[in-house]
Amino acid sequence: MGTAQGRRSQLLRGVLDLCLLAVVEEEPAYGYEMTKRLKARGLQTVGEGSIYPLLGRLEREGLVDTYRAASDGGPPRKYYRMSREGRRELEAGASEWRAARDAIDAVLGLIQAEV
Amino acid sequence: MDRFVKECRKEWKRLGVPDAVANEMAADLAVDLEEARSEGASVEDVLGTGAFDPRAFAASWATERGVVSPSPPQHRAPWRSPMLVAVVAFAVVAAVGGGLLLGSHGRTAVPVPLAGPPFREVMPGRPPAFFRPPPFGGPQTRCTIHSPMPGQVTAPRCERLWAVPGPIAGFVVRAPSLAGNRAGWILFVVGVSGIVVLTLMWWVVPGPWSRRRSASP
Repeated sequence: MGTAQGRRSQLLRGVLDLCLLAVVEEEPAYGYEMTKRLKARGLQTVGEGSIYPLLGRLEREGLVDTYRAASDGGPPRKYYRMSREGRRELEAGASEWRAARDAIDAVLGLIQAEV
Repeated sequence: MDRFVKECRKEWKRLGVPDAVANEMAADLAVDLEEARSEGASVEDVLGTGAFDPRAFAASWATERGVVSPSPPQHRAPWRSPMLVAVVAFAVVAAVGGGLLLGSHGRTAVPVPLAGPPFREVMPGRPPAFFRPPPFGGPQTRCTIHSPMPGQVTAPRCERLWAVPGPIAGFVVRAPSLAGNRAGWILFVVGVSGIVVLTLMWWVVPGPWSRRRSASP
């Protein structure tokens, strides 16, 4: 794994739970469907451990609810949807992310200007 | 992909994940991987680096989901703790040995024929409770002579003398020696104290060998 990809994976790991919450906020989804939606948004690497353990944690912490439903004629899938606690977590997490991003941009932006 | 799911199932079984939950996770994973395969994606595309280590992936998933049963504490059987066994054995041996030592020093009876007319009680009191006359044959006079010192068996030096009418016969109850008595008491007290302490520890103090098992992590 190259340095750039490794850093990207590390960065994603810190906010992947927020990304998953954001995905199910739009529309309930099953595991692989979330992977595809993330990929469609440019997050092609799910990094270490994939999204399944993360979904397990979100479910355990009550940040998502689950239900079973058929998917496009296929076998029943386990769908994840946003819970009330999940929505609060997403709002708080998104706010933290923006604050961190702005701060990092402020630092990296200066360096970029010098280069 | 089937092999990946099978490996996951093995790991879940090893971790004590309930069958229903393991079946559900395995089914979800299998369906997702099948869909990915039908779309030309690899396991790695779906699982990232988790694709290279199914056991670690499965363990991580089950742990994050909170379905890993707490592993039973690997307690050693109490009898396999040499120190504990030694302490218990010492306490028991000391208590029993001390008790026997005390009992034997007060109970030794030596048949001694007594000369002279039938004895009468020369001192008030009655024989010690532990005293049992040995079975002499024929009509006899049963005498108890409590000697103040071991080996002193003659009547004149006896501390107490009981006699009942009949032909003369008798026996001496040897008086306990001071040293033997003291050693017996020390052993007995140490042994009983040890047993009491061990019992209290077993009752109160949590531990693998205790009545109150340590809380599982």
